[in-house]
Amino acid sequence: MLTCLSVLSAPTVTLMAWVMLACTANAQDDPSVRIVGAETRLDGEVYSLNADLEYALGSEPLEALANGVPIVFELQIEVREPRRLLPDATLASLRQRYRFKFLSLTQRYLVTNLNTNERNSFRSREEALEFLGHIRDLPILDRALLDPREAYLVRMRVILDIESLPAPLRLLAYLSSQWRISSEWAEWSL
Amino acid sequence: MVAVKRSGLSGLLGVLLLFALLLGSLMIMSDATQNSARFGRLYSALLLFNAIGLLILTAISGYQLYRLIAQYRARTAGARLTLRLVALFVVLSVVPVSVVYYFSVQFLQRGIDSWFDVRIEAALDDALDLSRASLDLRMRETLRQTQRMASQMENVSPGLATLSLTELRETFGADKLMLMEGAGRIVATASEDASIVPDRPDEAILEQVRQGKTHVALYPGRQSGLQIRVVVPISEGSTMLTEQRVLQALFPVSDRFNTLAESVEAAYDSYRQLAFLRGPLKTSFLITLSLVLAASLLTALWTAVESARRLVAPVRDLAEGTLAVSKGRYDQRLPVPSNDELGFLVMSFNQMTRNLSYARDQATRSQRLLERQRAYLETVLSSLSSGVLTMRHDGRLRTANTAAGQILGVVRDELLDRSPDDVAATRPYLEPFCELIETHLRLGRSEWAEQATLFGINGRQVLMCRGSSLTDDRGLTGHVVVFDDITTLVQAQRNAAWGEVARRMAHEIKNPLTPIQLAAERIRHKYVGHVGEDQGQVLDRATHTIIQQVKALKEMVDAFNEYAHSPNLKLTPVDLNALVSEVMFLYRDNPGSIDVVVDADPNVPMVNADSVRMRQLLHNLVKNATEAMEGRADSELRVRTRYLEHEGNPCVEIAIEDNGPGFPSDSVTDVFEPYVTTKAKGTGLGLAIVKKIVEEHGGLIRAEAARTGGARVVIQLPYGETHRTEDAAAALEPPRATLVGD
Repeated sequence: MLTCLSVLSAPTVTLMAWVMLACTANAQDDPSVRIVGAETRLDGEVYSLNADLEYALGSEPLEALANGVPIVFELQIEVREPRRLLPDATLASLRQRYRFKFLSLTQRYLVTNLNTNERNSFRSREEALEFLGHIRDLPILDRALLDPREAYLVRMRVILDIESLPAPLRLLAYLSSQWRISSEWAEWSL
Repeated sequence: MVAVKRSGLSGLLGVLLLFALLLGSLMIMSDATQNSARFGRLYSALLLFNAIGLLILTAISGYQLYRLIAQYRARTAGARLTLRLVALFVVLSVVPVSVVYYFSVQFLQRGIDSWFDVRIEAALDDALDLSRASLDLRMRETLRQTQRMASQMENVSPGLATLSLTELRETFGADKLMLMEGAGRIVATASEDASIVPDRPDEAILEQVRQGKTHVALYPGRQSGLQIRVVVPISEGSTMLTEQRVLQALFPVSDRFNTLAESVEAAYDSYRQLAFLRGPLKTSFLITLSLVLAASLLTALWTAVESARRLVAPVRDLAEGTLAVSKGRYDQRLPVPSNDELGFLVMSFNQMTRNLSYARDQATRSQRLLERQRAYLETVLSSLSSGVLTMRHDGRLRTANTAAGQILGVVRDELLDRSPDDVAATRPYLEPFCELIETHLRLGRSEWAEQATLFGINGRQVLMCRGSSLTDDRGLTGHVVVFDDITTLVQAQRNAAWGEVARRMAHEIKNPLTPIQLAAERIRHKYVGHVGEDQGQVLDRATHTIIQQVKALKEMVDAFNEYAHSPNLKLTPVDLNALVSEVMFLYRDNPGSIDVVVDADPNVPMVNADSVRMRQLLHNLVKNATEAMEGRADSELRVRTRYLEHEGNPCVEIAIEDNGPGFPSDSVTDVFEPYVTTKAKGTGLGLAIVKKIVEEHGGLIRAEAARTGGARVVIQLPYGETHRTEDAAAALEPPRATLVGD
């Protein structure tokens, strides 16, 4: 399947990836993060990622957020090389972390990209979550690092980083499904 | 033992190290619970480590406890005491620790609750409000400034807009100014840093401004600090501009304001966070406290078990050692645990077992020596040809040597632990022997000697018995009886004696007889014609008497010689009934008018006997009887044969009975001795020869009074597998030469 995909043209594959992800992303009310769609594009010499995510937080994380507890989401992106007989080799791995916090003075929601320290504030939580779910032009890999003859896979998921929560909350978070938020791995060919 | 100690020590060190690690990590965890910068990130790892550490500690302690309980159930020595000590230690540690735990939990709850105070909360709220109020002032000011800028920007053409904006920015101290058309298109910007990406207001703000309203808001800057964003519409003063324009100004907040506001916000957030996390915080502290409690208790339990085990080890060793000693194992040497009282006890125990072991070895050596001596004595006794019996003081047989069994014809064990009476009851032929012993035991003589005659399976046996009492300092302890089978010896002695008598008689009496006879015949021949008729008659009578008497003397000496020099027995199977009938037939037709009645038992088997001697025996008996009945008109001789069991031994019996005057009552026992006779005629050897023949055949003979008043002689000849063979009979011949020499 994967080798078949590699011979198809890039736009077709991208389209197929969006469709497939849209199918697997079934609507559910439980607290979750879903990857609605994701694609990689070659932008000059750099592969960059576009992805759309949908965050649905449960009451406990929302209450914690309202009380000033920052929540960290981690975007995990891996570029892998499929191998016969052996497990896939991970060529590159990127961790993109976002801190989501409510500011009591300005009554705004602040999203900080922990990799770049860039801050964006929003009047409402929904706006902030929409911002978090709208990833555009995230550079992930230089084309020079890849062998053009080989086929590569990209996979991605989003998790709520429990270890970044205040210590007293961690044990509870590990035990509660409201906190153990993680999307499925979404995989497509580069 | 050293290895055990070393492993115990390493175990102790291991558990103490684990406990120390747990305690350390619990301290760090307690620090981490408060979200400290140092250990905050390690909290989960620490929690996991502590949980695993506790599991290990639980497993170790649980295993120890399980082993202890298993030992208790198996009733292993010392387990009960160990368990009791462990229970004591555990109670001693659990009670105070539980009390401390209870109060700690109470203090924890109250302590955390006491962090939160309505006044502090209100103060923080006020501080936030104050910050907002002071920022509001700044925001109003920036709004006014922006509105002034907007009024100055009225009617400014797009070409000059950038220049005007730069001027205004510098004048009013804004970070960034942006002139936009109502639809959102940027007309001109003025910024301190040209590289900064345009920071456009969002559509909602633009919509608000398009409706003629102003927008002023405080928000976090892209990199740090706070910014004030003011967006105002620009009035439609000029006709050449068809679309309404919007001015956005971004003002910085002073550093001092920023710092203070951040500080207030941080404190406020921290307080709210803490209030929100109150429950989880308590839980976390409680978990940490419980882990500390569990670690302490488990370590205490382990230590309790280990200490109790160490404490009890010498006691257990002692118990096991004592048990071993009670089972006779004296080689137990216990390790001396320490120099305290227990150590002294163990040393004493070791000394005791050493002494016991030495004593036991000594005893074993003595016993072995005794056994060797006993075996030696036994060998000596068994090699003796004499029978030796020892008896307890109550007469029961204690030991008997092999020869005793052989002589008495019984298995030796049959005699042991039984009284002579008991033995006689099962072996009737031993009765004379047993009675003899009983009699002497009863009489209580210290030493005695007597003969006993038995008639057993081996025929007649003469036993020479000598008894002696065994005494020691405590008095009478038993008796010993030594006896010999002197049957052949007696026979030989008697034969030798009679042989000597016969030789003397032949020499001393028979030799002179011939000259006497010759002399008498000569006197008669020479002088009977030369004396007168009267004298001649006297001489004739006298010489005749001499010659007759000498002849009689010669006959007597010959008969005696015959008695003394009996030829060797020639044993052949003999039909006794036939022999008796044959001999009696000779006398039946005798003119002596004697009625001979033969009563033969058809069951009488063939016996091994010398037929010639037996014939002589019968002749002698018949002759004796006929002589006794001489002169009686109704003389009757009854001969009867029987096959019977004599005291358990098969034998053949011949009884000859007459109706003569019988034996004189005082000589019944002596009738078989030579020259004991009541008759005027006869050599006095008839019955003696009979007895001799019977004894040569190993039989018994007795004389008794018949019911008719006459004499009755009963002969019993042994029958069975143990008949005397020819060789045995030959052995009966006395070693004459030797005895003569004596």
